[in-house]
Amino acid sequence: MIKPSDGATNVPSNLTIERRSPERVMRLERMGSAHPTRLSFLRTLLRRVNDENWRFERAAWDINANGVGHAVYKAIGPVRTYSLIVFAHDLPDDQRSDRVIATAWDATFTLFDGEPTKKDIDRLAENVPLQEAGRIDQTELCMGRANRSVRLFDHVIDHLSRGLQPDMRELESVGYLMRTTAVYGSGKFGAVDFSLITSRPELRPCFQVEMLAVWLFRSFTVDIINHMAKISGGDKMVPLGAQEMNALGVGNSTGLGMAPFLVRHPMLINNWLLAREEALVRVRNRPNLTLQDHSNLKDELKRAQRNARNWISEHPIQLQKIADLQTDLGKVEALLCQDLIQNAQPWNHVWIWAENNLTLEGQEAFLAILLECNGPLVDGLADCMDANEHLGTVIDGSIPLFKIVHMIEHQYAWALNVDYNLNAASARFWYVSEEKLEPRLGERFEEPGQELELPLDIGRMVALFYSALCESDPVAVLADFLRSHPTHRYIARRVLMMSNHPYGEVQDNLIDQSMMPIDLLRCKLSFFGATHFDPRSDRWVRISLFKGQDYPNFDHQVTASGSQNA
Amino acid sequence: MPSKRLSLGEVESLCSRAARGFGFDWGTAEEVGYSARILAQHGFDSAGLLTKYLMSDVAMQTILNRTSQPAAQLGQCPFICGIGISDFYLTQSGLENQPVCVNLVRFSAFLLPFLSRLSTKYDISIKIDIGDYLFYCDQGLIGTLSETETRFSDDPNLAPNIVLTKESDRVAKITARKSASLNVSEKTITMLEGWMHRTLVPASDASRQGAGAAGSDNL
Repeated sequence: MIKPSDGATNVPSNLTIERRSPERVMRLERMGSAHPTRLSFLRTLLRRVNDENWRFERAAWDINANGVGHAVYKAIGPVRTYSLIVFAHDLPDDQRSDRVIATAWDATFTLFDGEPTKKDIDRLAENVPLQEAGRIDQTELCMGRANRSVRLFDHVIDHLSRGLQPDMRELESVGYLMRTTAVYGSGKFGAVDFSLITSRPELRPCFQVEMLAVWLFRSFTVDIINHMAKISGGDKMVPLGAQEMNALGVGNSTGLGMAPFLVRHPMLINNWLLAREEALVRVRNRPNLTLQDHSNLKDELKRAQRNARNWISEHPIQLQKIADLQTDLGKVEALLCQDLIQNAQPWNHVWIWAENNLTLEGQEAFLAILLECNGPLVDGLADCMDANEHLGTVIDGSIPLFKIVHMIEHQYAWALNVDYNLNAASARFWYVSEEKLEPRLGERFEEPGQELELPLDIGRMVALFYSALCESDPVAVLADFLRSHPTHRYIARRVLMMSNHPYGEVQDNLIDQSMMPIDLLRCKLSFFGATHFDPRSDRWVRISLFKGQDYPNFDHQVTASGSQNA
Repeated sequence: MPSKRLSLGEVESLCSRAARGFGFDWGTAEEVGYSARILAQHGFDSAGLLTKYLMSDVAMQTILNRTSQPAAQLGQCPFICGIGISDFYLTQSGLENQPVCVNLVRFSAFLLPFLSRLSTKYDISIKIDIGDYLFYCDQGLIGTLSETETRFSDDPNLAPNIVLTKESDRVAKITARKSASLNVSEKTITMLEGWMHRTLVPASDASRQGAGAAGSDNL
C-alpha cells in the first residue's frame, strides 16, 4: 500500500484531500478515457536513461540491399548492458498481417541480456524470426515483431531517395514507420522469468524491458528507412530530418487478447492506479501555485492541444472523444487566463473545476497535465507500481463467513447490483481460442463454448459466491466452506486479495452486452505511455509509442561497411 | 529423450491449465500451477510429476469425489492435503497452533509448495519430518539444514506419513537447490498440452470478427 511519504520529495505534510474513490476511478467509461502521464512506463525509462547517463551504440548493421539481415543496438547502463537484436526481413505485401495468427513479419527482435556473441546471434537468427514457433533462452528478456506501415514506408523512401524530406502531414497522419504486432515479455517462449531480474533497479518498474526494446527499435525503423533510401537514391539521398524523426513513434496493434490482462493481474493494476491517484491527490494538496507553475500549466496545455489536433481516428466513438477533448482543452485555456494563485488550495480548486466542467476525456487529460507540472512530487511513485503477485495467493481460511459477506458488500456492491439472469447482463463469455491460444470474447447465447468460460466474469462470480455464503452458517470459517464449495475457491482468493487493493477491480460487468474491450485496452496502454489511441473496432486498437520523445543518442554507429562513426 | 526448457512462468501456466482441463475447478487449478512453479524453482521435475499424478488413480478419485479425499487405500491427494493445511493454518486445529500429521500422502512433493507459501506469508519456519529425513521451509525456500545433498523424494509410489511443525525459532540457513527454468521432456509437454487443450474453444468466424487487424488494415 502506498503511503503519502513513498517515493517523493516535498510531499505536503497534511494531506487533507483524499484520493478519488475506486468506485469513481475503476469504471470502464473512465478507464477508456485514460491518458498517458509522467508515471507511464516509457516515461520512467526515459527519465532513468537520462538521469543515469546511459550510453548507446549501434554495434552491428549487417543489412543487405534488399533490407534483409540483422542489426544490434546496445544500451549501456551504469551496471549492465542490454542489446536489441533486430532481424530484418523481405516480406511480400500479401503476407503482411498484424493478426496474431500471422507467421511472417517485416522485422523481428529480441532484447538480449548483455552483449551477444556471434554464436548467440546465430542461435537467435534461427529462432526469433519464427516468433511463437521458435524458442529463446534465459539470456533473452523479451521478443517481438513489427510490420511496416506500407503507405508511409514507401512515401518516405521515395522522398528521401530523391533528396527530399517526406510530407509532414503524411508523417503526422500515420505517426510511425513500423508497428509492433506483439511484444512478448519475460517468461514467454523460454525467455527469463521476471522474478529472476526484478532485483535490478533498472528493470524493477513495470514493463521496462519491453519499453527499452521498443525504444531501441524506434531507432532501427529510422535506420532501415535511411538504408533503403540510400540503396534507392544513392548520392541523391538525404537522411530523415530531426523534425521528421520526432514526428514518428513506434506503432502498435493491440487486439482482444490483451484485454483480460487488467482482470488477470489485480494486484498489479491496483498498484498502477493507486500510484496515479496518489500522484493526483498530492498535487491537489499543494498549498500554493506559483507564477512558474502557472506558466508550466500553460505550456503543458499547449502540448496537450497540439496532441489533440494531431490525434487522428476514424472510429465514431473516438472521433467524439477527440472533439470533446478539444473543447475541454479550450475551457482549460480560459481557466488558465484567470488569476489562480490567490485561491486557497489552488491546485484542488482547478481540479474540482475540471470535475464539474469537463468530460471524462477532458478530466483525464487534465490529470496528466497536472502531474506533468509536478515531477518532483510524483516521479518517485513509479517505484511503487510493480507487484509480487504470488504473495497474495494464500487463503486465510480462519475468517468467519459473515466477515466475508461484509467484505463483499463493501468492496463489490457494484457486482451485487446486477441481475445476471438478464440475457443482456450475461451476453458474453471469455474463452481461449484453440486457433492461437489467445483470449476471445464469445456471444453466450449464439456461440458454442460457454462451458469452457474463463474466470473473467468477476461480478457474476462474486454474486454467486455471495449467494452461497448467505445460505451458509455465518460463523463457520472460510476453510470449511471452501472444502464443501471448491468451485468458489478462485473468487474467494480474489475477494481476500482485493481487501487491501482498492483499485484492483474493474467495477463493471465484463460480460455485459454493452461492454467494450477497447476501454480495457486504452487503460492499459495509457500506463505504457501510448498516445494517438485509434480504435479499429470495439476490440482492437492502433496506438503510437515514443512519438515526440527523444531518440537514444548513439555514441558509435557501425555503418553498412563495418566502419564506426563516433 | 528430447526436451524443452520452460521458464517458470510457462511451467505454472501449462500445469495450471492442464489441471483445469483435467477437471479441477479454477481455484484448485491455480494451486496446481503455483505448486508446479515452486517445485520447478527448487529443481524438481514438477511437470513430469504432475503428468504422473494426473494419470493416477488418486487424481481420478479426487476429481470424482470433488470435495473430499479419495478412498483410504489409494492414499491422499497432495493438493487436497496442501489446500487443507494452508486454508486451516490459522484455525484452532491448524499448524499455527499445533503439529499436523498427514498420513499416506501420494505425490507428497506437491505438499512442499503449500508449506513454502505459508512460510513466506506468515514469516515462519516449518519442519517437515518424514521419519528418516527432516526438511524445512523458511522464507519460501524448501531444503535441509545440512550441506549434504538430501532430496525430498518425488517417487509417486511412496505415500509417507509426515509430521509438520511450526518451529518456534527461525531456521538459520536452509540448503536449497534453486533453478531458473525447467527442462521438460517433449512427452510430458505433449501430455500436459493434451489436458490443456480441453479448455480451448475452436475459433469461429464470429469470434474472429473485429478481434484484430485484417489483411485490409495495412496502412
